[in-house]
Amino acid sequence: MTDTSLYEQQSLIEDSARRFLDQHYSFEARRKFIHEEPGYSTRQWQEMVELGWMLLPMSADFGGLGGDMALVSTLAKEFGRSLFVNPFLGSAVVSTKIIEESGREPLRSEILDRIGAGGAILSPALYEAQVRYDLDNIATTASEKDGRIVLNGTKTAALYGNVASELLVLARNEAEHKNSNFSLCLVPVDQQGVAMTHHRTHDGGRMSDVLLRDVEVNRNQLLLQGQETMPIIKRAVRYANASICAELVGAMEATFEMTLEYLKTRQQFGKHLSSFQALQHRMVDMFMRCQLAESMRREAARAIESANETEQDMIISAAKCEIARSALLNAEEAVQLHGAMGMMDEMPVGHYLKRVFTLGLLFGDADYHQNCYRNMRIQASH
Amino acid sequence: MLNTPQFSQELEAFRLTVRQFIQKNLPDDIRKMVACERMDLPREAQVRWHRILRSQGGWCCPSWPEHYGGPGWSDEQQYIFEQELSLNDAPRLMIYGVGMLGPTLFKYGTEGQKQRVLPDILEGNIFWCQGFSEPNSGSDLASLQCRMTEDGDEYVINGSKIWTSDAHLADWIFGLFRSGGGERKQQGISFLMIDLSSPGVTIRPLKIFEDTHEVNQVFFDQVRVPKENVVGVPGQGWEIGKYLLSLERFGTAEVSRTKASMKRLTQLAFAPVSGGMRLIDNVDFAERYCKIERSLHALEMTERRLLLGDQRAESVDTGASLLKIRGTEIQSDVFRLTAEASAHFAAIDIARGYTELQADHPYQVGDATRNYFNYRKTPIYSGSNEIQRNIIAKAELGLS
Repeated sequence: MTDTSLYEQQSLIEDSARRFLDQHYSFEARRKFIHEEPGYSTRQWQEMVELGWMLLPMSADFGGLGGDMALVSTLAKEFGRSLFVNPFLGSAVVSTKIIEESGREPLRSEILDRIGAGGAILSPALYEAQVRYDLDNIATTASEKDGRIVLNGTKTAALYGNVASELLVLARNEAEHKNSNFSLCLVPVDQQGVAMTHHRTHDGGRMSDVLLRDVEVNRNQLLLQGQETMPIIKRAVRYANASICAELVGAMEATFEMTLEYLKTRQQFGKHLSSFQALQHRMVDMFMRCQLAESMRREAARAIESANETEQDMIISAAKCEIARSALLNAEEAVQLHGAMGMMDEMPVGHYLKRVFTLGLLFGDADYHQNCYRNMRIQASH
Repeated sequence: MLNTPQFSQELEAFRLTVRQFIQKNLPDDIRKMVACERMDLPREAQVRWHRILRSQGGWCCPSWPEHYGGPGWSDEQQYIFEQELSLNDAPRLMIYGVGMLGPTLFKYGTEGQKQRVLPDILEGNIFWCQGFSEPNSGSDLASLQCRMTEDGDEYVINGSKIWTSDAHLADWIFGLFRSGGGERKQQGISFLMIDLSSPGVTIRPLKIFEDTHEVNQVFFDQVRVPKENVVGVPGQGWEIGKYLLSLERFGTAEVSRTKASMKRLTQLAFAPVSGGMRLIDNVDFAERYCKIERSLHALEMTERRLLLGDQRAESVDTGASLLKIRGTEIQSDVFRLTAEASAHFAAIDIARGYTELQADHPYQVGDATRNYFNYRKTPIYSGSNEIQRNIIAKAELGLS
């Protein structure tokens, strides 16, 4: 179970990310960034590109650093600790993972180069409000007209659509409703017929609704088509969830540490809050949830490398469901244990609650993954 | 069940060897008792199995170095061995002699004590039990009062020990006794080994509400013990006791025992029901089942991470407490769900031992409910889960 070089690589990433975020992303700096457009510091984003972070999730075949999920997870965990909100997840993780699997050259290499070395931002436009987290039942259509593809529909939760140069639009091939014939198109945001509404999310992040009205794209913008599409999208969603698990665990650790510190400092009834057994035991329960979540974070990263897709799905769903619930419970406990101070905007603790709640929703919330897990378990039959 | 990562090829080959040996050599009557989740195995059965393992070299004492007759296994090997015992319904190891006293003597025993005590544990000749708790010293162990007073070459013991598991099967007891005073209650405690056949020892059985006899009260009335039976020096007892309790690194969470219990529950859950729904097709049941499975997996991976992982990356000092708390919580959930899964059968009170004699499949009658009641002990014993939380709060989190 020991892998020296992996441990060392992880330590390097952890140290460099923590140093970077300590220097550039204080809680005060963050408050400023999230209330201004585009929601993060573009200068910092450029520094992240220079540090090679965009290359971390990318396969070495395309000039990336190998895409080892254990390393991506380490980085994402540091993001979580610092409440760092930025387009990394949607662009460098999900978009990269989708595009890597596309057979379209030179388009594939061209886009991956732009993401990896140039920091181009892509936004996956996969989900639709009416189907919640269920991608199989999306309604956006792709139809053929004079050798071109025409897209119609409404997408939601396109991460950082406000800064994306292109969208990755998942659509169902028209006239083939309820089958597995899907397409994924690369759509420049300024393409005629694309209308976006940008939102700030509760955690200070950004996401967009996308209205597609007779959006025409060339056949060479079709990155995935037919039967190949959905398995590739789902693989990317697994990556997204493994990465989210790591951010949640990072946030859990930070929340736990600040609450512990608070109880050791704050005095009432002439003694420190840390001396009350009722509070001590709640802290121990928080601590245990952190530890179990940390194990599941590593499991999620491991599952990504596993050859068996059902096993991947089950472990990712197990991890997401358990970690998202634990992270939320811990954040609620942290606010409660801070008392009225916990309600103050100037205190970080409430912002961790907002972050873990929001992050937990993306790519399937805890209930959704609980359901997925149960269905797979019943199918597995023993 | 979710798969866990494989160990190295060598270790997986070791696992296979162990598994094949157990499956070939574990007597069926013993397997059935364990498959019914019984912890109260007759002494005869325990000795029989111990000696079968002894025939493989030191397998009966997996944590012992070769020098003392053990197999000299690595942590990983011990972990895998314990897993295979559980998953194949072999009895738990004899914890008091093999798991606790032996390794304590390696560190604190005199040469004479090692020579007198260790061979009989190894061969399964002498059964040990542990005397820590007293009627007025449960969670507050250091307040213990069972007294030893010096008299020539001997100590004279007066008082009693309680909740003593297996005292009715044991030949000897080790434990902590009050030898003197001190500013702190942890001072003046000594670690002593006592022959239970000594005049003045009385053992009173204490039946638990489930109906099984596992624990006892042991009374000492002017019991004379030679001074050579003190381990370490008088007054060193608290330190030695703490060391002894820290030895139980593997198994306190009973993760692999609970995995075996889950396999039995799985059989019930997926069993075809004529003209009806399988249990697993009931969404509420399925959700409780899945929740346990996920929690157990998280716990198993935590156990592996904290006990066997790269220690540079792990910084938890109170892993044993964490594992004990979560392990026994999950175990209790499994037993409650298994009892409820048995529907009306769960209501029927039939004597322990009926199932393994009459039924091919455990839990066909009554036993599931007995197990649910019986295993309420695990969150209480070996330091209640509340005490474990105090330990984590103080030692890990610095809360005081």
